[in-house]
Amino acid sequence: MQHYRQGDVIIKSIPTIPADAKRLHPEGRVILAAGEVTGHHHAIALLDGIQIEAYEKDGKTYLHIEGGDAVLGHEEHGRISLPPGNYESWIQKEYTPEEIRNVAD
Amino acid sequence: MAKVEKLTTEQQAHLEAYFQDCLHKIGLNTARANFDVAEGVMTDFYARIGKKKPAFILCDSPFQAQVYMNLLQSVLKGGQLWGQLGDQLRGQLWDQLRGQLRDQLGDQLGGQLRDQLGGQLRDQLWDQLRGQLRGQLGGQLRDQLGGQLRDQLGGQLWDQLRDQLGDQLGGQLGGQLRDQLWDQLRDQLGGQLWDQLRDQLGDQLGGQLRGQRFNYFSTWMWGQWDMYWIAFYDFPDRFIHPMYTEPQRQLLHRWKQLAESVGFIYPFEGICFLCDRPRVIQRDDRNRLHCDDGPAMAFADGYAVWSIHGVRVPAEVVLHPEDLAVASIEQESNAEVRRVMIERFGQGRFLSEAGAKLLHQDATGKLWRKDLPDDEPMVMVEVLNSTPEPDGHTKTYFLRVHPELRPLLAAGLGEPQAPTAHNAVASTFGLCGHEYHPLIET
Repeated sequence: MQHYRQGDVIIKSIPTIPADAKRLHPEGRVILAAGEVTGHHHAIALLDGIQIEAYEKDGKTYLHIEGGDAVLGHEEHGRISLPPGNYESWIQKEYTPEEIRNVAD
Repeated sequence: MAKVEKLTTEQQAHLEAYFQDCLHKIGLNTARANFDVAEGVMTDFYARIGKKKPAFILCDSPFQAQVYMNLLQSVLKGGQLWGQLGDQLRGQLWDQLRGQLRDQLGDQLGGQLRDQLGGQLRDQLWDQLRGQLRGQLGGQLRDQLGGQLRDQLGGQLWDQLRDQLGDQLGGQLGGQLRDQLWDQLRDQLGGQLWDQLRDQLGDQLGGQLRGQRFNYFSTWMWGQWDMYWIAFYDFPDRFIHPMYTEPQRQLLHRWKQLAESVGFIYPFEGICFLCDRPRVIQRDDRNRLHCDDGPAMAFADGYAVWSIHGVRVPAEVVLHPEDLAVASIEQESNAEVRRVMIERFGQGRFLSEAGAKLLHQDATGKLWRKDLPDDEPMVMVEVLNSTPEPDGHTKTYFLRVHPELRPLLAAGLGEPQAPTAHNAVASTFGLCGHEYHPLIET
């Protein structure tokens, strides 16, 4: 399966979205990872003509893209075009002896 | 009238000058707020939604406003003061106006200019101003305030508040609050609420605030940083040709007056908090909040945002990075803040003082190991951002990985891997080295 990576976010194309994933209803854009200290987010803008459905399960975001390429943008990284299909996305992790935590920026 | 299809050369020149004015004279203005004008506009806005003139509380910073709002809310539990009007004002005086103006703009502009509108006007007046003002300046300030008020316990916040506001707050509680609230609110509050307020304000106030959890009040009205949408609708009417009705134009003008005069505004039933503009706004050449020897944004009461190229950091990282302790850098949980700390501390110095040894190096990065007495070793992978900065340099991050490079999965740890930098990066995404070959990486 193919991976795409933008900074601390990784996206993998998958055949189907888990049936028990919870549907999200984002406004304006789907944020895959929020920048806590920079105000810069890894986000996909919701545009006319492209249907994007977002789901969440176990800390991962799932995307169903239809009708055209969705564009993942971030102020400090190159854009990534995601062709129609299903995707699973998660955030880079970091190890500490106490816990495994998401990389935060 | 025929639809406008193209901006003239003269209009193009106006657009550039207008953009610069909106940005520098309004959005980046650091002069003291003109509270008289703002009070006039807000009184008019309240009247337009059928509310009587509120009492105005003038604040040196949004932080001070948040403290006052918390204070009043806790003292006036059950009082009728706390109907937030931001939503209502925005709905009736902003969303409706914008909707109407958008339709009229659409009617007036021909296909070609609509494309330009989707291009130049929108890019410059909406996107750029919005990004620079509301996104970077207002957004960073809001995020910091929200984080501090929501996440920190009252006690910590109180310490910070005491440091930042010093005796001023005590003085103001006796001074400003007494003068303003006492006199202005007396008429608006019932006798019982008034007695409650009087009883509770006083020397013990600090004690009461201590240990109390603070709320963050959402910001609906951004004052000078609302200028992006005002500009977008104001420009065509003024410089292309008049296209709105007189009442619409007047209302838009009121919003512009507000943007020209103050910072954040928190409107409530009967009371309205107006915040002064920052005294200092420092940015880098990419319009991000930045100052490497002082606060990037600072208010008259000392409340400040410290930021290095758009990354909010503690003040000591800006002022005395050489005094940071290696342990405190290692313990910083935010990777972006840690990167800035290491850059400012000195990367070579960090690695040598940390006593790190280079284990492996490949195209992905470098793998470092540091042995700790009586503890498992600390293994870090040093990686470069895939997208270089516009100036050509590339940001370096250090991420801690499992000592055996076991993939970090949501449910726990995977199997050990050979010590390579590639395997280490793969493990941070919960993958083994052989699974990790991104098609595109930015």
